[in-house]
Amino acid sequence: MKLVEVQELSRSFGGVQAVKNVSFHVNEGEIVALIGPNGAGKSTVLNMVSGVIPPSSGEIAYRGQSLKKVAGDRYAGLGITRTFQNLQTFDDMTVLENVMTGLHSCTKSGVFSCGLKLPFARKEEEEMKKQAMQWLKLVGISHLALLKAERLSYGQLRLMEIARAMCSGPGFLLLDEPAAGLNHTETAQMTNTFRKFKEMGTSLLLVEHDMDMIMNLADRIIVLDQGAKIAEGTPQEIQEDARVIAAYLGQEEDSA
Amino acid sequence: MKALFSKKSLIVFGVYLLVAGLFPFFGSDYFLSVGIIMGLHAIVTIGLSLVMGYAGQISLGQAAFWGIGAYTTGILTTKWGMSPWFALLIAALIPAIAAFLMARAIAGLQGYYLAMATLAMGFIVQIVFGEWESVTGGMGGLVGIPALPLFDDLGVDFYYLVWGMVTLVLLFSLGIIHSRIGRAFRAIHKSEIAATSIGINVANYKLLAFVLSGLFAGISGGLYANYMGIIDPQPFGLHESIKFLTMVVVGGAASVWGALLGTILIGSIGEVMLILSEHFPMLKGDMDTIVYGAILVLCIIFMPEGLVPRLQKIMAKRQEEPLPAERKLGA
Amino acid sequence: MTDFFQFLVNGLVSGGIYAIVAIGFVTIYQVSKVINLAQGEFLMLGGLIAVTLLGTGMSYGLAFVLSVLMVTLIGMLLQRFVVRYGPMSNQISLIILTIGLSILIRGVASMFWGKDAYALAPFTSNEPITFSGISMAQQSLWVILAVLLLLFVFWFLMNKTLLGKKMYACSVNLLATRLMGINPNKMALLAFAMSAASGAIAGIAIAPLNVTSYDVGVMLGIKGFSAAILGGLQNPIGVTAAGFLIGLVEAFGAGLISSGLKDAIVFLLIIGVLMIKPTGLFGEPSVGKGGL
Repeated sequence: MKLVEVQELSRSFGGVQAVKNVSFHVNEGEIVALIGPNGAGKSTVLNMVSGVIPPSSGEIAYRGQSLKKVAGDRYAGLGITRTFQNLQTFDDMTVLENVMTGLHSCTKSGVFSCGLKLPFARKEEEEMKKQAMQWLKLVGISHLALLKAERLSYGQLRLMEIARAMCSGPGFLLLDEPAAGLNHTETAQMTNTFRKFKEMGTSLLLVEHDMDMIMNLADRIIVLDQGAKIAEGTPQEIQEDARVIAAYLGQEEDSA
Repeated sequence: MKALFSKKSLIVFGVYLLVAGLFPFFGSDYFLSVGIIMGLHAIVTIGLSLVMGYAGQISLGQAAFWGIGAYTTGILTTKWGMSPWFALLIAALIPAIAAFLMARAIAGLQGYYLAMATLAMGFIVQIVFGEWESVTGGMGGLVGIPALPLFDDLGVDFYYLVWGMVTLVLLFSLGIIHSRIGRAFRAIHKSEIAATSIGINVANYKLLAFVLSGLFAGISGGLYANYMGIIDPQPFGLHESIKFLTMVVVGGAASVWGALLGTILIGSIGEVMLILSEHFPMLKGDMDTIVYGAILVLCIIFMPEGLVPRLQKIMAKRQEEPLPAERKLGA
Repeated sequence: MTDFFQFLVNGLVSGGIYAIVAIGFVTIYQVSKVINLAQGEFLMLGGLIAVTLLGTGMSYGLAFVLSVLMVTLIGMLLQRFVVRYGPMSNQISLIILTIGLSILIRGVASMFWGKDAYALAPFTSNEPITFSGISMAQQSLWVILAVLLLLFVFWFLMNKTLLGKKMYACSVNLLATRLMGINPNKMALLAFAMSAASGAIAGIAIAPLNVTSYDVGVMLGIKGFSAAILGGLQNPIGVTAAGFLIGLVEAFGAGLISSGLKDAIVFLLIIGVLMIKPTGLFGEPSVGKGGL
C-alpha cells in the first residue's frame, strides 16, 4: 500500500536544475533511504516532500491526497513530520518543552483557556507532558528532560529533535542526515530506535551518508546523482549496481 | 498531581503583591500618581514583551495602540456620552482589532522591513489623531473625559484598580507563556521552519501576539484617558514607543517579569532625573534622552537578554549540577 | 502649471536628500548587515557643526570641510567603539542598538546647542531664481547639485574601484571575503565613514533651506530609512529611485491634499508597497512555504 507517491518532481534554483523529474514512492511501514554524492539533490527532495520548499513542477501525494495546495504548517496535522540536517531546536526551552512543541498539531487549547489556566487547558498540558516524557524515554534522554536544550550535546539534540518529530504519532517521518556527527555507539542506538518507529507503523524516508546504517536499516534505497534518480532497489541490489558505483567513484566520498 | 505554580514563582509573586500593594502607604500624592502611570505603562510593556521577547517580532509603534485605546475612551465618553465602563471595554477591543488588521497586512515582513512597517503605522495613527479634528479634537485634543465611576477620586482606589489590572494581565501572560501557545511563540522566534514543520501556523501566531499586545495597550490607554481627563496626540508617538521598547529591552524582553521590572526601573530613572534637574539646572534639556539612549546602547552590548533573564542565568549557574548520568537506552 | 513645477522642485530637493540618506543606510547594510538608524543624526550634526564653526568667523569653505570631517570622525568612532560590538546576528537587537545611539547623539546635541533653531547662511545669495513664474531658492539648486555629485561619487566608488568591489564582496559572502584577506571590520568602518560624510554634506546643504535644530535628524533619518526599505535595501539605484519617489509623493501630497497629511501619505505608500512586495520594490523576494 503506497503511503507517499512522488511523481516527476523537479526544482530549479535560479537556473540551476537541482532536482530533475524524480519519481518514487514509500509504502506503509517501509524505511526508504535517499543516497547520492554531495550535491545530488537529496536534501532538496526532502525539503519538497516535507513542504519546506515548493517544487517547480511535479506531484507529491500522501495517502492519495495531493499536497500541492496544502500549507506548510498543515503537514504535521496530516501526519508528515521531519528533522533537520542543521538542527532546528529551540535552545531556550527545556528538553521536555522542545518535545512538547511537537504535540502542537494534536492539541487545541486556545488563548483564553491557556491564559486563564482553565481546567481543560491544564489537563491537556499534563497530558502533553506525559506523552512527551514517554518519547524522551523511548529515544533514551528522559534523564535530561528538565535541562535547557542549549546544554545538550549534538547527539542528544538529534535525539530530542527526533522525539519532537515523532511525538505527534506521524505516519511518515523524514530524516535529514540523522547520524551526522554521531559516533558509532550513538549511530547503532539510533538505528535501533528507527526500527522501533517502523514497528509502530511509521514510514521513514531518510537522507544519510552513513552506509553502514543505511545497509542495515533501509528496506529500499533510492540513489540520486546530479538531481536525477539513477537507481532504486534493495541494499543488496544497490551495492552491486554499476551506475551507483560509478557515481560514487566519480568523486572520493568519505563515508565517516 | 502538581501544584498550579512552583514554589519559586509563588515567592516572586508574593513579593510582587507586597510591593505593589504597600506602595501607596509610603509616599505622597505625587508618588501615587507616579505609581499609577508606571502601572499603566507596565500593562503596555507586558503585551510588548509577548511580541518582542516571545514571538521575536518588533513593534516601533506600540504607543499607537495605546493612543487608540485612549482616544476610543475619550471620543466615546465626551462625544457620544457613553458610560466610562462600557467605553473602557470598547477601548480594549478597538486597538486589538487595529493590531489584528495591521498584523494581517504586514505578517509576512521580517526584521528591518517589519520595523519600518510598525514605525510607519505608528506615525500614521499619531497624524490621524492630530488631523482628524472633527472627531479627535486635533492638536488641542479632547477635554473633560470622565473618570470611572467607583474610582473617581483618582487616588488610592484608582491605583489599586490599575495595579489589579497589571496583576491580571501579568497572570494571563504567564499562563499563556507556559502553555502550547507560549511555546509556539518561542518556537517561531527560534526557527520559523521548524515551527512550521511541527504544525505551527507562523503567521497566525505572530498575529495573535500582536493582537494580545494591542488588547493590553488598549486597556491601559483607556484607563490613561480616564485618569488624565484630557488627551492630545503628543504622548502617542515615536518617543513613547521607544520608551516602551527601552523598558522591555532593559528588563528582558523574553520575560514578562522583565517587562514589569524594566518599566519600574526606567520610570524611576525618569523621576530621579526630574528631581536632579531641579537641583542642577545644567541637567535640564534632554538629559533623560541621553540616559535612555545610553541605557539602550549599554544594555544591547553588555546585557542583550536584559535584566531578569541575566539574573535567572546567574542563579541557575550557581546551582548548576553536572549533567545527570545517562541511563540505558530504550527504558 | 506653476504649482506643478513648484511641487516638482520641492519634491526633487527633499527626495534627493532622502536618496542620499538611503544610500548611507544601504552602504552600511551591504557591508555589515546593520541598519544604522542614527543615520539622520549625521545630517543634524553636519548642519549644526557648520553653524557653530561659521559663528567663529571661519570662512564658509573651511567650515564646510571641517564639519564634514568631524561628522565623518564621529561616524567612524560609532562603528569602532559601539556598533562593532553589537549582536550582529540579531536584526531586532541591532535596530534597538542604533535607535539607542540616535537618541544618545540627539540628547548630547541638545546639551551643546540647546533646543533653539539655528539658521545657516546659504552657499550663495538668498535671492531666489525666478524662471517664467517658477521661483526657486538658489540653495535648492545647490542641494540638487550636491545630491548629483554624491550619487556620482557613490556610483564611482562602488562600481569602478577595488574598494567598491571589496565592499560588495562583504555583502555577498562574509566568510569568503575574510578568507581573501579583506578585513570586514575595516570595510564596515569605511562604510560608516562614507555614510557619515555623505550625511554631513546633505545636512549642510539643506540646512539653509529651513532652520536647523537638534531634532531635525529624526524625520530625515526615518524618511531615508523609508526610502532604503522601499527600495529594497540592496540596490543603490533602487533606493535612490525610492528616495526621489518619497520626496515627490510628499511634495505633491502636501501641495494637492494637505500638508498635515503628507507624512501619513508617504507612510501609507510604504505599508501598501510592503503588503504587495514584502522586501521592497527592488529587493529580492524570499521563497518557501515555511518562511525560508
